[in-house]
Amino acid sequence: MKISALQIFWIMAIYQFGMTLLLTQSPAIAASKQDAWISMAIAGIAGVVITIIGGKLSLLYPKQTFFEYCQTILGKWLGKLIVLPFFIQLFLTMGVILRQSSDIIHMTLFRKTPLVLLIILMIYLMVYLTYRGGIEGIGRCSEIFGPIIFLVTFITLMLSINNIEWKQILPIYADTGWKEILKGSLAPISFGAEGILIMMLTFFIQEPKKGVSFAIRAVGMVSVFITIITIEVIMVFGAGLSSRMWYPYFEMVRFISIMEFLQNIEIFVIVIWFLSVFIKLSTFLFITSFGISAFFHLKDWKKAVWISAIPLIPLSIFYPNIVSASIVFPEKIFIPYILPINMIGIPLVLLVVGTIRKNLSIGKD
Amino acid sequence: MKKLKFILFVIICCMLLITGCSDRRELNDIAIVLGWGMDLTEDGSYLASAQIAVPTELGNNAGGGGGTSGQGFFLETSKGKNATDASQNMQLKLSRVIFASHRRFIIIGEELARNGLANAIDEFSRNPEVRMRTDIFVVTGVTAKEFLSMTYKLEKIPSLAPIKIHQSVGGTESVTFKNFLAQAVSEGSNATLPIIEVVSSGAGKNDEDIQKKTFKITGRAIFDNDLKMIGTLNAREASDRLWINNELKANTITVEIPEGNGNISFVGRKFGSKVKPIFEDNKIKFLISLSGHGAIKENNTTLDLKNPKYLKVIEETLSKHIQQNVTQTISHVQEDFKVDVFGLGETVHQKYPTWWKKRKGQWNEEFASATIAVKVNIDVEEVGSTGPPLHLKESVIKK
Repeated sequence: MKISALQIFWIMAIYQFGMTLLLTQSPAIAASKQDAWISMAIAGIAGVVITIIGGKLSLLYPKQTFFEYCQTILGKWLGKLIVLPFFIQLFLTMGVILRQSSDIIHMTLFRKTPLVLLIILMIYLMVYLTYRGGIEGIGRCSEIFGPIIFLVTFITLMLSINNIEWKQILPIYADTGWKEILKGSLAPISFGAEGILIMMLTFFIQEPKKGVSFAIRAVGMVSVFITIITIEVIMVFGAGLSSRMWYPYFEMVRFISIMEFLQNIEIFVIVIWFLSVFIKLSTFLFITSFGISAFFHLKDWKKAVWISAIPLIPLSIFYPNIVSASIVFPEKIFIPYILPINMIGIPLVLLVVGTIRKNLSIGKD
Repeated sequence: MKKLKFILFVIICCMLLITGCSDRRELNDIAIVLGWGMDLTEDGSYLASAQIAVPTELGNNAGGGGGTSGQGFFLETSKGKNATDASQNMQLKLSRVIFASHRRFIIIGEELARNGLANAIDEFSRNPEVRMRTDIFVVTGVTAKEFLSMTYKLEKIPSLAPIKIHQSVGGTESVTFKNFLAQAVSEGSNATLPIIEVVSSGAGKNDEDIQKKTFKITGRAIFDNDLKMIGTLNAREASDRLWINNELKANTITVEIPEGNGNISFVGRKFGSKVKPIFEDNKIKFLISLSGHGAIKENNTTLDLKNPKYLKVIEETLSKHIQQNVTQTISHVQEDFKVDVFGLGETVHQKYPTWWKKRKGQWNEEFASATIAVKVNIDVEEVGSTGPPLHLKESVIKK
């Protein structure tokens, strides 16, 4: 079960892209107004740095899974303990993503269908891909979906050009200041930092070194894309209107009208969003079930797929409404706890301790 | 295990089908709303009127020879506390579910506009069914309901007519609602909407001609910061405003040329505008440079347009005429309405952000007292297919 460097590139690119695109623009623009694109660029750089940390960490022991090298680095008990926050993170995020993705599809396409049906169907698809194909299946899917997703996004950007009033991006910096800009970058960072999960994927890459560098490039490419899209959204709607919309990019695509002829193409955005969420959730599900099987010493990790998938239904329905899933969860749980602990703290500790250990053991030899 | 898998598969398949069922919307189950009107009633509630398409009437007349020429739409009205409430009450009268996705035209009664739109227009952008790409107009003379009940000879669906008229006289393409929102949100500009007026089409004396009502776009309604309509610009002033905002797409100007004892008509094709805020003695000043390129379409003077000298005269007279008009428009707005409908505040915001931060609260007062200079540069690129008018005697023509 190994994937190629190109496949990891697309996996990373897709799972960074969709969520960031639809969910972080509005909070970023609300915080840093027309300078939101600077926030996005900062978040992109932070995402790349975090991915580099994760990649470096996993390259210390490329022959071991995340679960294994945690124990190599920190010892048996601490190594096991330190994995627990990641299980919590993965389950919580999967629940939120499932909910948000179903919400947007519910709002735009299936207004009368019960939400839980959409969620269950999505879970079934994820389980199917993960159970049948494992990470290899996910990699192959990404190879096909990736170019489509980015091509469609690129086309929507081109078609929006005639709605642009470029002056809306002005004045740069003067209205906000660094404090606001950094505040605006928190939401996109919390998504961009998910690049850290490369530390759990390196084990499955055929050429780990090449794969990690490809993954870092993928995060970089996504950041550039998101920054450009944010600039364009602000130029089309202005900071005032776009900060009040739930999904400014989606509204921008709805606004496209070429000669009153090419209109109503927002359905493509829903499709790429769906594909992106599908890949992201499947990757998460794979990581989770692989981790669970390692944690409980199950022989067949595939059995754990069901164990991890079923709790997602109550986890995603648990949120009473869109506000608690899209605003309260990131603000109250993701940014204050998951981001500093899971995404930055633990990987850094592992990296430092791991490097010292490795050097010591080399010194011993 | 295999059996379990099979059962699961069947259940999932059923769910796929259910998704289709619960959201199916057949064409004969929906009432397609094409135009929407909002009026304020005396008791403070809103009167919504909807122009609903009649599908059977829309298609069959095209074949020709049809005996009955039925209307392609019908009007339904109802009262409510807001747009959604009214449409809920309207649904009580309709056999088909109201379907708003094709609602691209919204008309606001003058009474409602004057009392403020702030509490009436949220639904137009919140409802995920409808698009932001909507045109919204204010109607004067009659109520929105009366307006929507009118027929229009050229369009089967009368709601399309104002949109098309607006575009053909140089307005923007279905972005009036978005622009309205953007102007309302921005602190450096005030919102405006195009006005439509009901007039009689026939100039003739007999009753039939006078009764024939039609509508025309007559200018622009100006809103204050509470989104209350406080005044109007006439058609010329409205196109001056579009020009300053760099949104003008077409404009025709007729001007008297004293040198040639007659008038000429200039059809503009490309318009430009540059607004430059200048600081002098801590006072803000503006220099607005307008440019226009186009052709002469009618020449009722004795001038021979083959002569570059006369072309120059025409360009200068045009520029001067436009400059006077635009200056007059600006001072009219400054004196009578005291709100910045030209988005000048935004240019200050973009160029002098620190000053703007301190003074944006009093921007409308600053605007009302600001000195605004206008510079116009007209380029005549074509003069049509003749030089001097063909019907004039050689001796009359100024070469």
